[in-house]
Amino acid sequence: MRRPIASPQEFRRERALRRLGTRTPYCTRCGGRRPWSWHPSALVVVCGRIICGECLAAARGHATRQDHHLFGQHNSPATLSTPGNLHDALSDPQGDWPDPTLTNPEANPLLRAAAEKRSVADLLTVHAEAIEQQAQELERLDQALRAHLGDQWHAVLGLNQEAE
Amino acid sequence: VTGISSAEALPLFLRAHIEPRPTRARQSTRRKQSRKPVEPSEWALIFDVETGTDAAQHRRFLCYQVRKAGNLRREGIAYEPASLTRAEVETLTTYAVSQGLELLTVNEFVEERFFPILYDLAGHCILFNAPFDLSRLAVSHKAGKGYYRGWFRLLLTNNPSFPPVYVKHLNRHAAFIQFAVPPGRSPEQRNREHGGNLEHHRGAFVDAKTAGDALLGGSHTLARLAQLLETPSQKLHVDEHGGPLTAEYIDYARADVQSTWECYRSLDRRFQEFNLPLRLPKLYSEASLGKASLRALGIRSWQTLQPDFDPALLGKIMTSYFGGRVAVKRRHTVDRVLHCDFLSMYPTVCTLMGLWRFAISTGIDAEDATQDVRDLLATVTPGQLRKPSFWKKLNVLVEVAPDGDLFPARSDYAGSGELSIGLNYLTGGRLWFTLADCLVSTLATGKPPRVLRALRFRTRRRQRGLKPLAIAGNPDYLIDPRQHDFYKRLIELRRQVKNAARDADQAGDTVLAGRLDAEQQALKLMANATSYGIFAELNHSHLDPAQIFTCHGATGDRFPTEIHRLEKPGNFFHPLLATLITGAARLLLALAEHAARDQGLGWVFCDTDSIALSKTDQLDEDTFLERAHAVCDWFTPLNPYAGGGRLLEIEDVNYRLHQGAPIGELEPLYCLAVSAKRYVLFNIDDQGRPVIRKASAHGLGHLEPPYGEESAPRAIPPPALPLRKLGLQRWHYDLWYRIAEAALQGDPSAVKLDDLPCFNRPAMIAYTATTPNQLAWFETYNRKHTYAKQVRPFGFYQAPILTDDGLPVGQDPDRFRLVCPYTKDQRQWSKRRYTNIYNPDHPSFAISTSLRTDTIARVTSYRELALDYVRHPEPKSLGPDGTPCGELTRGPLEPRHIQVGTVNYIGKEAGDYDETGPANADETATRYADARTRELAEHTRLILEHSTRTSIVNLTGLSPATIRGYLDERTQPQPETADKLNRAAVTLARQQVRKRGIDPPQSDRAALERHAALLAESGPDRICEGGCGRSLDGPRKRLCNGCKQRQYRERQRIRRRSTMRAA
Repeated sequence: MRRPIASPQEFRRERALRRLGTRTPYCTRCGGRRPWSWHPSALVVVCGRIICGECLAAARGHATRQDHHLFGQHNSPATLSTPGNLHDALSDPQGDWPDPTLTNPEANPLLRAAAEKRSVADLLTVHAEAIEQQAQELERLDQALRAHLGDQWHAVLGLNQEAE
Repeated sequence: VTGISSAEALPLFLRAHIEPRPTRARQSTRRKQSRKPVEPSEWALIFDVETGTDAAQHRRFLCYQVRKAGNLRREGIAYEPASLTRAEVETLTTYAVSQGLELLTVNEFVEERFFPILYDLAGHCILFNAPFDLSRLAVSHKAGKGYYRGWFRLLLTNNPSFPPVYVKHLNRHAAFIQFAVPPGRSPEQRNREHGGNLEHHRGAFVDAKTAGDALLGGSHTLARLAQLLETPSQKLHVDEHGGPLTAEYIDYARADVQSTWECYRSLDRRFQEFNLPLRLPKLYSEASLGKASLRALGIRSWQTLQPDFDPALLGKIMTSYFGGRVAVKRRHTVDRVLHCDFLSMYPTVCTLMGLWRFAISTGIDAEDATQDVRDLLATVTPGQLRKPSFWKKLNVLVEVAPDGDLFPARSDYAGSGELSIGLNYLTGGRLWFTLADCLVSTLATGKPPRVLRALRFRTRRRQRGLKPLAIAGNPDYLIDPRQHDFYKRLIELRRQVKNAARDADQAGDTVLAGRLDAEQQALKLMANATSYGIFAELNHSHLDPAQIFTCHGATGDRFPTEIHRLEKPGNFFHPLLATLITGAARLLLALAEHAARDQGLGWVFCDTDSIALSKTDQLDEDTFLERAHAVCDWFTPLNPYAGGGRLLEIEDVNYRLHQGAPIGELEPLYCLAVSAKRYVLFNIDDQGRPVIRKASAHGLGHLEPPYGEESAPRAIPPPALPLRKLGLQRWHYDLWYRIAEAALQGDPSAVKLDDLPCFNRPAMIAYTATTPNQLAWFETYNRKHTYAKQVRPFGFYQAPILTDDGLPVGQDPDRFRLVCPYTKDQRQWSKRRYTNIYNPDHPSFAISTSLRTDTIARVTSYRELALDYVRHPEPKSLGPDGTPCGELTRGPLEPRHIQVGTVNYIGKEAGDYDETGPANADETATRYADARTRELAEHTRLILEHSTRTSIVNLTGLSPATIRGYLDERTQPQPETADKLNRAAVTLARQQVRKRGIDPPQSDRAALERHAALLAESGPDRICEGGCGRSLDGPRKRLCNGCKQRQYRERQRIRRRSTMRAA
């Protein structure tokens, strides 16, 4: 089997961005204030507007927190109450798990252990994405401040001491 | 006027305006506009296909790179198992293992690399000459249908889950390429299911050739592009293509991919300099750049702002449109010349005339200026034209009644069906020209033309939402469209940056010099891209079936015409600006001619923005130069740019060469001109031999070279400048050398061609199969071959040139053109069989340069072609003997005097013969014939005679009296009325055909013809039994509608009476 050209996560992300029609998606209702509302898996298009799962649930009078089957519902009934957007972000990669691991019809303990490992890996990946997202936002902020206040914007705002 | 020859009647051909049909009003004004799909991702796939050298040029292997954010992620080779031997596959395998590359088959590459990266990950596809490479990947193809008519639909794999790729050839620089919409549920479709309005993602294909040609001008090979952009990896050289596969050859192929990537990066960086809201995959030409520049300045197109502009006036404006002036004054003589050109001709005339205010206005209005123009023409002197303020008054169109006046004219001068534009004495008719053209005539003839009417155009208020643009993102290069004259500012900025680059270079700061040089190039390109072409942009779209439109010509002519090729205006189409700009450019050339005459100088040729001033016999060298400089200085007051200087500049070609570069010392330059655009400029060396400095390849560039540089005759000295700089192939150079040599010996037509190799072989033109129509000629050939061996999209074929007496016996001269799949082996040219494109199933023909039979066509050899080339006449001028310039005419030429005969209307003159292929008969300018005068009128009358007056009144809105007058042939309808009647007839014909259970044809004409045929089939008319005498249209009808109603009313009346009686 040849190595695929990109990870399933990259393909998934690209599909989501194509569905949303932008490379910098955010929830047009909460403006990105809700946690994980920037994550492409957590965003949907409703009447042409991009909106996060939590805002959609709130608008429909549903709960914004949801129970997430951390190891997959066939492996364990244990759930974790998470923000709706994080639930979407964590559920999406479960679709890429091997089918036997996800469904585990024979309650195979090894596959269950594999599911636990995969769930932790997904959790770390999603958090890594969040950290990268924050880094990108800081870089965008820097660009915007440079455009408005010049390259020495931190001196203009008197932030040099803090930087040191 | 003295010295004008007697007039001869010739038909004139004028450009016309085709009124677009009103588009159907949207059902809902709240309908949302579709949104562009997501922008391409950071992924990129770069590949280059290596092919065999056979006629089919089938793929052998390809090298590719996969990059993310510019970083190399994967590199590999994909091969076609059927095209390689086992040993070659082993060579590839060994190479791939040793270099750590992936090795796939082409099919695996397509399914596992091409589509995942370009479609699923929305990456960039970076290629050089993209249509060719993509067509080599195809496993089958079809001709596009509907909207995609004229496109190729390439299927890259037999797996139906992957979308086909559509490719449409635009010109030799660019093509549209996009994915088709794939089957199944795509992310964009999911968006629309939830109320979104995303367009489908169609891929981001970047052709480095297209981008390079648009940003650097000209047409470049990969080697040349890499050289110009100074990329770290240059294209490697191999001795042989198509031979056994070796590691060196694979190195060469990999280097091509790397070089393509580096060229793309460099071009992308240059493109970013413009700071425009346009992505590189959408850059097709300079015009794309110009349009994006105007959009970045917040300028909206005139068409959108003033859609209701009077179409009749547009027709008049279009008839006054002619291109740049190209002419020869002295033919087949060797003259000492000084070759000069105008500084940035089109931006300069835009600045002089203040046309920027037109570009940023919300519209234009015309006002009468007849008396002003008459007064101006009666009193104008050349001195007035030296004042820049005078040029601001030239935004005027004039209707004249020519009487021996010198005006531009478009005609079939040689009677060969080929149209060309000349400056001729005209007599008769009523024609529209720019005021600049009237000034040219007044200066040349000494008398003003008879002005019937003149219209001055004024601008409306300035557009709102204009915004400044910083070129290259640099605030120093800020252009504010509200404050600056865009063109003036661009040229001034360019001059500043050019000077700064020179200073930086002298100071040794090569990095800064390089950056500034790129910026000045960007400024130059932007000035050229926005100053003319985009205002005259008309794009063809084929109509199948042909449809009837209204054509507007000069003097308010308006008539319906049937069109199969519609001209769709470009986004910034502004015909008034286009005609004013070219008119003013012709005036500048005429002034140069006038100034030269005042100084006692002549001229040999002029070409759009340049003129070759010639020395007369009476003058010595110093006096000639002094006077030529005076001519150049004459224009200096007209220089509108800060810093001043000459407007008419002396070209580099006049200066002595030192180590291949011109130095600041003039060297005597000589010129020999054959006809328009066919000339050579040369120095004479110590031994009296010509040293070619500049020559034209016009009329030769499309031919296959009979020999290469290595076979050039030794008797001809090698060129003083690299052939690339001269823009010639070696055999062009040799031919011009021989022509100049013969001219220096006294007779340019006695050109010596004996020692030019292969000149007795048939002259051959190589074409690319760029449209599905061209491929249809090879259907018979393709049926006999597997797909790999067929002539396929963007493959090559060749065509010989038939001599005048070369038609095989029994063939129709209008339907005979030969083609054959391409082969580079010249010895095969005479031995191969050729197919007549008009009858591909007919047994093929042989060719010969000497013999003609019923199966052998006599074709032109390079020798005959070269002799024809040097004798090519200039039929739009008269020779010294007062007859139209023929093959043997020599000496000074004069404009012909034309008695205006019929005036015909045409569309845009098509691109050159090279691009359109041998079946160019359909590709020349569309001629707009009056549909009223044709049989269509008969069909119209027939259907209207068989319809009720009420239905005609309802459909046309005309009065019954008008309709009766037309049907009784008592009145000739006005164009508008005829148009309405035609439309009503088409509608009624469709209704009638549909009533008989037949689907009516789409074409208007076909619908009318079908109805006429049905009427003829149904035999003589049946008469209404009600006694009214009307004919019946339906086969089952007994009564006409009127009698039926009358009888119904009668029955009702009787029933009412009987009811009353009973009561």
